[in-house]
Amino acid sequence: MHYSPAPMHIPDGFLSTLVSIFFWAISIGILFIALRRTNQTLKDKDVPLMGVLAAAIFAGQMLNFAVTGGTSGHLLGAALATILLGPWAAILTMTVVVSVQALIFQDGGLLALGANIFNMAVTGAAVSYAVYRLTRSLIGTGKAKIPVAGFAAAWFSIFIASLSCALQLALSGSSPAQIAIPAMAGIHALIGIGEGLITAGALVFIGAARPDLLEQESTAERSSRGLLIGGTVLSLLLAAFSPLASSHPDGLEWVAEQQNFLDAARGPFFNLIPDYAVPGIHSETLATILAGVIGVIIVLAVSLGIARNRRMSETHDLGL
Amino acid sequence: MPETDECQKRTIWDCEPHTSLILDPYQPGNSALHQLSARTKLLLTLGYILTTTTMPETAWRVYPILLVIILSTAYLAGVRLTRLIKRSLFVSPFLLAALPILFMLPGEPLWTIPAGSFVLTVTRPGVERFLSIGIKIWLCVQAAGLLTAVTAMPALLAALRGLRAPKILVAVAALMWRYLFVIADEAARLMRARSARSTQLPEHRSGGTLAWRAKVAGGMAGSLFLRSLERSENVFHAMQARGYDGESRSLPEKKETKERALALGVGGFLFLCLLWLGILWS
Repeated sequence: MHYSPAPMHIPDGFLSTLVSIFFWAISIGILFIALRRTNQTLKDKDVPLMGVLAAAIFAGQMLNFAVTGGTSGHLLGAALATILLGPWAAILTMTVVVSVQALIFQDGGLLALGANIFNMAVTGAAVSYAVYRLTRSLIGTGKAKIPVAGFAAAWFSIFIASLSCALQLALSGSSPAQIAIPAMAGIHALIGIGEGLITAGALVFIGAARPDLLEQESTAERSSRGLLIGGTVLSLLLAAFSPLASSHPDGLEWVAEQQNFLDAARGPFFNLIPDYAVPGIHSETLATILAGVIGVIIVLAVSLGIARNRRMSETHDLGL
Repeated sequence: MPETDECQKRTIWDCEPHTSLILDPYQPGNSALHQLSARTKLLLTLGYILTTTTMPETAWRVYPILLVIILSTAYLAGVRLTRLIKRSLFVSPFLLAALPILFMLPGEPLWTIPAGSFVLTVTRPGVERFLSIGIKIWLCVQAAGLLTAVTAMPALLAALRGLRAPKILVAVAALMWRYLFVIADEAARLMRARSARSTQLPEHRSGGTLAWRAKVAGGMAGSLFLRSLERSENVFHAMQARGYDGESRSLPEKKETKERALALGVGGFLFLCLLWLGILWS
């Protein structure tokens, strides 16, 4: 698939197993709430609507425009989805987009998918929703104000999601906090402008062609107090915590050490068990035997597979 | 940068919309791996990825075994290895984020790079972590790539449903997959139309301001969304006409409990052995 590799899809191998599983658990919990909330209001029509719009968000990511020096801005879509579908349905739609990108195009890992869903679907939609609502109540609800609020929602959704991503990398020990956070934040502050401009442009177009879509009760105007508060708190927390963590990486480590989390997060699981002393298993001999067994299994599997493949292609050649 | 540069880039998107079908990574075949149920393949892939990410950093002697497992399986399934490896190199830009780790971990210094007023010191733990992250990413991407090369998307969705993924999410994903290429073509047509209407004289600046260009792209995104919205209404009516009642039905998954248990058992045992080896050898 040709699109610029978005620096926010974390591949597998980057996050430690514990951090991955931790964010899977959070994302599953939030998805559960989102499913319950949408189930209450779900009409038959909404499944094809979310499906086709998910495809549109995916395809919309290739609509780019030249910025400067060969770089281009393009759409990620969480804010637009939130404004058009409402926050809970947007979380589900973005989850599907991110999952298909990981599953089919290896854009983001499978084990890291929980973290990617948290950053791009949950954080993206919750922050968009909170900022959109807050901006609307600050600058007024006139029709001309919609694109302005959309720009703010889009910029913040990208920016805050990138902070969350950087913190995950730092927690996994894959990138030091004092570099990962400012770097991710800096890049995405720029990417966010592109996202904001396209989102605003799309809202101007939709406002002219189908103004009813921006007024319906199914859009972000529908109130969801929990998500409003959640999105606001998430934004503030990440925005406040990130500079702290990047200027005092020791602070992050201190907090984590207090919680006994950092070592667990950085190392694989079994670092949790300090001295697993299974008698005899430390011997090199046993390791060699095990290696031998594994080697034999692989060789056997390979030869069996070749034999089976050949038989199959022969039966095919005979037209059987 | 003027609009016309977009066209000179000549990506698949703005030139040949129908080639977007090539984007489906599934490579049909009838190897044993193709015939294994999607659920088994998904579980084995997840097991492989879990094993790889959990592997201790310095398990250098286990990584080649993991690579051999992927490549030999792919070879047996008749998957084109060059394509698999080429796809797996796509994620490499993300490795940049791990680059600072080379200098940041305390430990035995390997070599120093003078960078202006200060000196960067590459340490052994830094190199080890960076290399292991790179290898792990590469292995995991190949595993996921192999899964999608031998499993068609509808089978994968049925497998997800079998693994108790929420019904709505799977239904939305199925519809997304069904219309992805249609709408990607739509977007490609929009891009081509913009290229066709944009022109540039040599030595002359063309195209408007950044805000203007963004507004054009935004209008394209808006119209793509509106067209998709209308299409979703048509899709809904078509589904209704065929008896859709909010529940999407599909054929039951292929039953092969014996083979599944065998494959999962052998795979799980192999992964556990490899993990054990990794711990011993690190």
